[in-house]
Amino acid sequence: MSFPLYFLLFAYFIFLAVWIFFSFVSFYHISKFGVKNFTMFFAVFIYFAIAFLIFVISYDLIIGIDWGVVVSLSDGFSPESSSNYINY
Amino acid sequence: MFSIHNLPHALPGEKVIMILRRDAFILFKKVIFFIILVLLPLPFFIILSSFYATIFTGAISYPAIVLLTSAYFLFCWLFFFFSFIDYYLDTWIITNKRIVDVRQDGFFSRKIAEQKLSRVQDVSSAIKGFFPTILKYGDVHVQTAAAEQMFLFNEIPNPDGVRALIAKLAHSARHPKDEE
Repeated sequence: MSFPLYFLLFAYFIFLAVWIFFSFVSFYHISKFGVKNFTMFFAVFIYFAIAFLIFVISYDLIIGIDWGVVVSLSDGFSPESSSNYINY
Repeated sequence: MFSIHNLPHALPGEKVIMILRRDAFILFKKVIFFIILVLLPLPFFIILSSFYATIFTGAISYPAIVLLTSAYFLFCWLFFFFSFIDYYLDTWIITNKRIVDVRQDGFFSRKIAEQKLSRVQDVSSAIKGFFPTILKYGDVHVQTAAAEQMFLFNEIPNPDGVRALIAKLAHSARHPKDEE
């Protein structure tokens, strides 16, 4: 049995969708029930800034990956095509 | 968004006397827990790199590790952010006419309760444990005559002072002529 590597990306995107949903629920709570002051504005800004930083670093680390590689489960997760290792 | 100094459904002549949140040490504990969560993968990566050095260059293992790590840090960050919201939005407001308890329980539960000071029957404070004793934070229990009888102020700074303040304000609310 085998599957293409981009299936991992799909799983990650599903996680991201859930993460974005809960982030907006948090943002909703702050905007609806929070106190209008600098602390709350700063907290929201820092939250989205750090999250953006995590996205940028992740994107930078995965940009060179060949997502077309087919992963073979029967052969101990070994790639069936492309190179075995990534050179950095 | 509301301003705490413009209370919703404010009574005529109502003034905010005190706004309370849990002690800053509670937030500090959350920060420490978050730092531990963030550093948790580090020893795991060190062990992996010493036993399976090629795992960080594998065509499959490398993207899997990057995506898992990214998801883990995003989860930690969301968890910490919500912990902060939970801390910051849990507020007790003491006015010269009532006490208001605003509570955020999880992502989808929010509770607001209020009680007139004139209905307060008994106020007590409690400091239990090592850190609460050292840092002087604890609970204040407010017994009222309403159906939902107990108001609990959790882990607030200076509980003895707050107890004395509520008792004084409750007395003033019950006997306004004494104050004149």
